[in-house]
Amino acid sequence: MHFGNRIVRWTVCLSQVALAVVFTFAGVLKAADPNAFAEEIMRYQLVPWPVAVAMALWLPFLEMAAGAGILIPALRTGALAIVTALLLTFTAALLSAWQRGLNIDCGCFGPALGPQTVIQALARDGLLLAMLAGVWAHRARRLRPLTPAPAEPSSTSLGRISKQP
Amino acid sequence: MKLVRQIGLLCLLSAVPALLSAAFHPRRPSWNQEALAPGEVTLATAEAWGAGTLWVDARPAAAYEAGHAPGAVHLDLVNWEADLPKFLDQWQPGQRVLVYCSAASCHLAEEVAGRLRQNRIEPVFVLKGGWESWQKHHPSS
Repeated sequence: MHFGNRIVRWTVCLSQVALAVVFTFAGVLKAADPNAFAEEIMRYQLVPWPVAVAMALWLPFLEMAAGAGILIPALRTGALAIVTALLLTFTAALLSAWQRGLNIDCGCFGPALGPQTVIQALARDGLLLAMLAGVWAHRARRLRPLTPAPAEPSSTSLGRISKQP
Repeated sequence: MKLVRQIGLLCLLSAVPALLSAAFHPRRPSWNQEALAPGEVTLATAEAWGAGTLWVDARPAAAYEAGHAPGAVHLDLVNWEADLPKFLDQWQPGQRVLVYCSAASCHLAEEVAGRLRQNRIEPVFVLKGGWESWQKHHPSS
């Protein structure tokens, strides 16, 4: 295998493992205290309390399932799709908080870790999105044929072949 | 189709523990809880943050002397200039600050929190229910 290709494969593999670890870890921390996570969701001032409660109860386990799913080949595409949707949603919420001047604790890893500003969280989400973009690009390239399909043999060449003994 | 099946399976797998958590988790949120104001936290959340949070007592000095949350520093608008240096001695940049006053009806905590934010001290939160909520959960204090 070409050396460059090997580096790409390793980078994609490490990105997938990193995404799996980050999402599983974040899910475990948030699942430990759903009440605090619901309050953190409320600080974004985007959803009413009952919606925040439903999100606080379900999102941590969805993050864990998606994180673990990345490591299972049979579930990888679906898990990557969920992780992408979650990351885009989190980034949109952070950008909205930033745009409204809400200087809040991002709540990205639940209350157990120290406070993180919106800017720190946006920088981390940007890095994770870049990793995801790389993974998706690699998967798209793998699905595409690497070399062009051979051209249909012309009648002339067929004629030549048929003349051969 | 395969992608939709995988997403559906992962959503279903995560819904099962979520339902169990909604029914049995000791720290499950209540569906009917009174909504929190922006920047407000419950005592349960504040205590879950642990020792890294700097508690600020915004009640009058006499009330603070009579009793306050462990480790809380006094900071009110009346003695702002005198109290702020003491607060800054305790506070580390980036550390969570939690301000409380007497009860849910008082607004001193919001005012002190607003003043701290104006001084670029972030993140600052207000304890829902204030000292009254603390005493309810810690009757010996």
